[in-house]
Order: sequence, then structure tokens, then C-alpha cells
Amino acid sequence: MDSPDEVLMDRVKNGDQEAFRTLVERHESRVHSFFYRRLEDVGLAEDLTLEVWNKIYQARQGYLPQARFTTYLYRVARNHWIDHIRVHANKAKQVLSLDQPAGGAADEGGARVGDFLKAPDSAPEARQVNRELADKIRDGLKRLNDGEMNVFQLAVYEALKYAEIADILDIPVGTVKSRMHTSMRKLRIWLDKEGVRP
Amino acid sequence: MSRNPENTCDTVFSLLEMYALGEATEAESRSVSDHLAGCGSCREELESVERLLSTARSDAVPALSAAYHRRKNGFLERLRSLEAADEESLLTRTLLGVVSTLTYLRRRFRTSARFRFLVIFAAAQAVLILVLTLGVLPDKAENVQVPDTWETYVYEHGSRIREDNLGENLPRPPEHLPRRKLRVKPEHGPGASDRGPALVKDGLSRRNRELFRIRAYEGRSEGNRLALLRRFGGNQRTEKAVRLGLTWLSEQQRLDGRFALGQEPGGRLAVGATGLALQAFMGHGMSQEDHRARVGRGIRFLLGQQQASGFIGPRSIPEGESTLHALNHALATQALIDAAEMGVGRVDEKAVQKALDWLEPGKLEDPAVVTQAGFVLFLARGLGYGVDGKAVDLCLQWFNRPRNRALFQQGKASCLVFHAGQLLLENMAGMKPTEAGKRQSLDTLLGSKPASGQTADFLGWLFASQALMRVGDRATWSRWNRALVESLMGRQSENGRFAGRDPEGDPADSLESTAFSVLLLQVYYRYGSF
Repeated sequence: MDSPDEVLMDRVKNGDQEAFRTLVERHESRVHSFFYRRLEDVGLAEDLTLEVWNKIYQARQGYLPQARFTTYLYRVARNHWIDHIRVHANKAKQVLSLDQPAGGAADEGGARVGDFLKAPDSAPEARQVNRELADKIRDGLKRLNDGEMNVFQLAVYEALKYAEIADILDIPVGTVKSRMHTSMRKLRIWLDKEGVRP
Repeated sequence: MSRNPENTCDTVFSLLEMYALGEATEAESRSVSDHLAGCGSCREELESVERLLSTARSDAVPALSAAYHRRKNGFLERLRSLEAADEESLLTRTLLGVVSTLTYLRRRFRTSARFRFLVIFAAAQAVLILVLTLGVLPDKAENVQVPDTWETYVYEHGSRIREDNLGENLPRPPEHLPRRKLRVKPEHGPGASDRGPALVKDGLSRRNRELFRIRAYEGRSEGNRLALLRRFGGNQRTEKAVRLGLTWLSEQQRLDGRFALGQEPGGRLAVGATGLALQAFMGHGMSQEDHRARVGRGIRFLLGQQQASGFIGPRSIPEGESTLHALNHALATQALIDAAEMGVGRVDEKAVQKALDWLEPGKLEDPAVVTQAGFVLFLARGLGYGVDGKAVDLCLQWFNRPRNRALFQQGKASCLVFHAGQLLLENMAGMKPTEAGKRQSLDTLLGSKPASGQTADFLGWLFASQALMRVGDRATWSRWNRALVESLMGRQSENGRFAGRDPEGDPADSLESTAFSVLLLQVYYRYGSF
């Protein structure tokens, strides 16, 4: 039977390299998925994945098995993501938010993206192709703010419980619920605007 | 049904995604279920939420690439090495502790006979431990420190150098970082071998093999390619020409995986042409999935051509064609090695080993074949294949035979291949030419530098480019590179094809010339700093 992650991590603290390899191979696709969903850049997502494992190894002595290892792992990944977007602030600014002005400041005549969503439906005919819906969802996710994106990703893609997400993101469970609700509402408005009905 | 349906629909709507995700409490779930039983519009809403969630979940993330797995393995290997270093320092600390304790005790019990016995006993123990550990430490020490070299820099930075920054803000590998050199015995004086320069170690350590592999192949990844292009003088134009050339080459692949042009029967030249074309595709990294499939088919073709002896080619070699087939075999072997290292196609390492074993440098008589064979043997040896150091030495010695030196002296046919091959192989062996000898070789190569309109000597250009990148100073390399790029660019058509050796000659040469030209334009990064 496979050893639990926490036991493996304990062995890593005692210098067991094979245990670390097992952990990496068990969870690397999760970490990669975490970054890829945000970046859509395989190479960069892979770089960040390796950097996360490096961080975990360097900080192995500080690991306390108070929560599941995956909670710890996502927390490190999330913090690393924050570091990454801080360093690449200019790139991060390019990410469009539903609440940010598009085409100039709102008070200068620029409209908010949300305003476009309220505009009459001029979208192409709704097509029930799964691929297209997936593409649109991906586009819509880019328009969520980081907090909403984090919650959506962990709840939907990683199928984590709200309590666990709250633990990872260090926010109350109520905030997880409200962010999830907001992100779903925004996504559905976006899809509606795009003429795609799930 | 609820007495206040409007409010209930709103309430249920706010709970739908929690309900769908299984996050609603028992009471909330019951309330939603009760409401859904009598409310069609909320049922539709729930179906819509569930479809959205399931579609999002089914949107797969691309699998982790082979390059990632290689880097991961390197990273884990490095951690292991560092752990070993910690163990060593622990051992050293322990020994120091023993020595200091003994010193203290000697002062404290200077006159005790029993102590003298204890000291002698402890000293004997310490000497024993030292002897045992010293036998291990040098090897371990080699595995401990990851040297701060250029290749480590590339390894550390991985593919962080992004192609979307084309030409701008690229981090350059620091110029001061040293290059690792293979250690060789001196040619003259103590330690010199009577059979010429020989590598001290017959096998590189596992870590050095990993570093060698990184040096040889990491330059092909999208990010590193760009850094190396900048470093050695490639640019967007050369890369565009490479992409166009590969597109044209891809149209020449037959169903069985071979690359052949027109009516060429394929038996005589297909192995070499396929080996060259496959190297060109792999030289550009394997970021495109269709390239991977294409190379996989080509590799299957080459493996299908391999005879029981290990030779890749026809069962019987017609008289007078042994040199041609030996060259084709060496080119195909290089493609197999690249494929095995890059994880493309299913290359059995035994097949590669057999192909390597077939190469017998002692029997080769042409500078192009000797250089190609030597290059393949050096590459394979660095990667950990079973290659006898003698075979490598034989390639080096071939160039020093007086007969060969006379045959290929300046001004004679194949002079470029001869001098480029010698310079390249000697550099790969870590041999340092004298300043005068080096200058003479560089002048010879520059004297035969590519020029528009002349008959191309692709193999000579390829060896010379590889040699000059390693040996030449910046100015020499720039002169050569400028001439090379201009000459090649002038040969490319709009459809990506490069004209044959003689621009006015047989168009059937185009397959070979296009593959060679692509390889030449990939010279900046194809084998990284190997």
C-alpha cells in the first residue's frame, strides 16, 4: 500500500530522497495544472512547478503535518504564484478583470467590461459543442480576479472541499462560498454574452 | 412547493453551485431537493450549472513534457548530491571533533601511560577511518559540488527565457562562467601515452553524464534556443529559414518514414538522408507534436534498416560505396542517439550500441567519415554508451598520419573537411592546440569560408561551424557565421527548399542540401555547449 503523503514528508525531513521523489511524482501534475490554468504556457508552468518542489524541499524541516500535505502543497504553490506575478507585475496587469475598465478609465468615457455584458446580445448563434464551451469557460476565467480564480480552480479543477480551500487561501469558509458564487455568476453572464449556454 | 416561490427560487439559485459541488449542508440540500421537485426553471438552472462544472473539469491540461521530466530528474539527482555533501561535512566535523578531543585529553593527561595507549589506539582508529574515507572522498567530492558553469546556468534557468521576448530583455549567460573540459593525459612528458591523447576516465560519472546530456540537448528547448541564438549570432531570420526548411522537408517524407526525393530509389541514400532530416527535426526541439510523430516514423524506418551486424543500410554494400554507406550509417546513428536522448520514437539502446559497435574508426579512410564517426563516438561516450576510449583515439590519430596530412593539405580536395574535422575532434577531446597551430587551422577554414554561388561543401561547413564555435575567437566566428548565413539564405527558395551543392545542378540534391542547411542554421543551439 502507498504511504500517505504526510508519512513520506516525514521521511523527507530525515533525508529520504526516494520519499521526496515519490511525493513529486505523485503530485507534480496537480501543481502543473495549478499553474497552467493560470498561464496557459506549458513551459513556464513546468518551470514554476519545479520551483515549487524546490521550495518544498528547502523548507522541509519546517513542515508540520497539521493539515493534509496537499493543503500545504497548494499553499506553497499559491504563494509562489503571488511571488511570480509580483515579479512580472507588468504582465499581470494585462490580465483583464471584469471589474477593471476596458478601453480607458470609466470616467473618461471608457466602459467597464461588465457594461459590455449588459449590452444587447449580439453573440453568434449558440453552439452546443463541448470544445467551444470549454474554450469560452477558459476565456471567462481569465476575467475573474485572482481571489475568485483561486477558489474556482481549487473547487472545480482540483475538487477540494471549501474548508480545505479556506485553509489553503487563509480565508473564512464564508468567503470561499461567496467567491465561488460570484465567479459562477460572472462566468454564466460571460457565457450568456458570448451566446453559449451550458 | 413553497408558499413564496419567488423568494425560494432566489434562495435556491444562490445554493445551486454548492449543491452541485456537494458543499451544501444537509438542511440546505434537503431544501434544494424539495424545491427542485416542483420547479422546472430551477431544475434547468441546476443542469446548466452542472454542465458548466463538468465541462470545465473535462478541459484537460497538457501532459508534462519529456523535457520537464529530464529536468526534474536532474533536480532530484542534484538534491541527492547535495545530501551526500552534507553527509561528508558531517564526517569531516566528526573527525575534527575526535582530533580536538584527543588534543584536549593529551594536555589533560600528559603523563599517563594508560592515556598514551589510548591515544595510540585512537590515532590508529582515526588513521584507519581516514584511509577508508579518503579512498571514497575524492570520487564523492566530484559528485558534490555542482560547478558554477555555463551549462549549470542553462540548467537552472531552464526554459524561463521565453520566445515571446524575441530579441529583447533576454538574460544572457554570464560570460565569465567557465566551461567544463574533459580531462586528458598530457601529450608529452609524464603521463603521456604512446598511443596519443587518451581520456583519463573511461566512463564519466553518472552526474557528469547528466551534465553532459544537459549541455548537449538543453539548448534545443524553446527558451534556451533563443539565448544561444543571441550568443552565437543567429536571429529571427535564420530561425524563419529553419522553420521553412523543416516544412519543406516534412513534405518529402514517405509513408514508411524514410525521406526521399523524386524518383530516387531510396536504398542507396535513404538512410543518410533520413538520418540528416531526422536530426534537423530534432535539432529544433520537439515542441511540435507533428514533428514528434514524423521523427517516430523515421526512426522506425532506420531501425528497420539495421542489420544483425549493427550496420544501418543495405545487406550487401556494392563495391566502391563503402565510404558512402559508412557515412550514412554514422549519420543515422547520430539520429538514433538524439532520438533516444530526447525520448522520441522507441529507440532501444541496444540498437544504438550495436550501431556504435559497427563503427570501426581503424577501417575508415575518408576525413568526412572519420570526423562524423568521431563526433558520434564522442557524443555517445559522454552520454554513457559503451564506447572504447581507443576508438575515439583512433579517430584523432587518423588526422596525424603523415600520409593523410599530405593528402589533404591546404589547397587540395576535402581540405576543409580534414582541417575542420581535426580541429573539432581535438577540441572535443580537450586538446589545446598551440597558438600557431590554431591560427593556421583557423586561417585554413576561413580561406574556405562559404560564398554565394560556389559549390557547397555542406559537411565541411558543418564541421567547420562546430569547430569554430568552440575554438575560434569572436571575430573569427563572426566572419565565418556572416558568410555562412548569407550563403545559405541565398540558396533558399520561397517554399523552404535549399538549392543543392551546385545551385545550377541536379535538383534531386535538394533533400540533402535542405537537411544540411537546416542543421547549419541550428548550429548555434543544436548541441548547446557540448
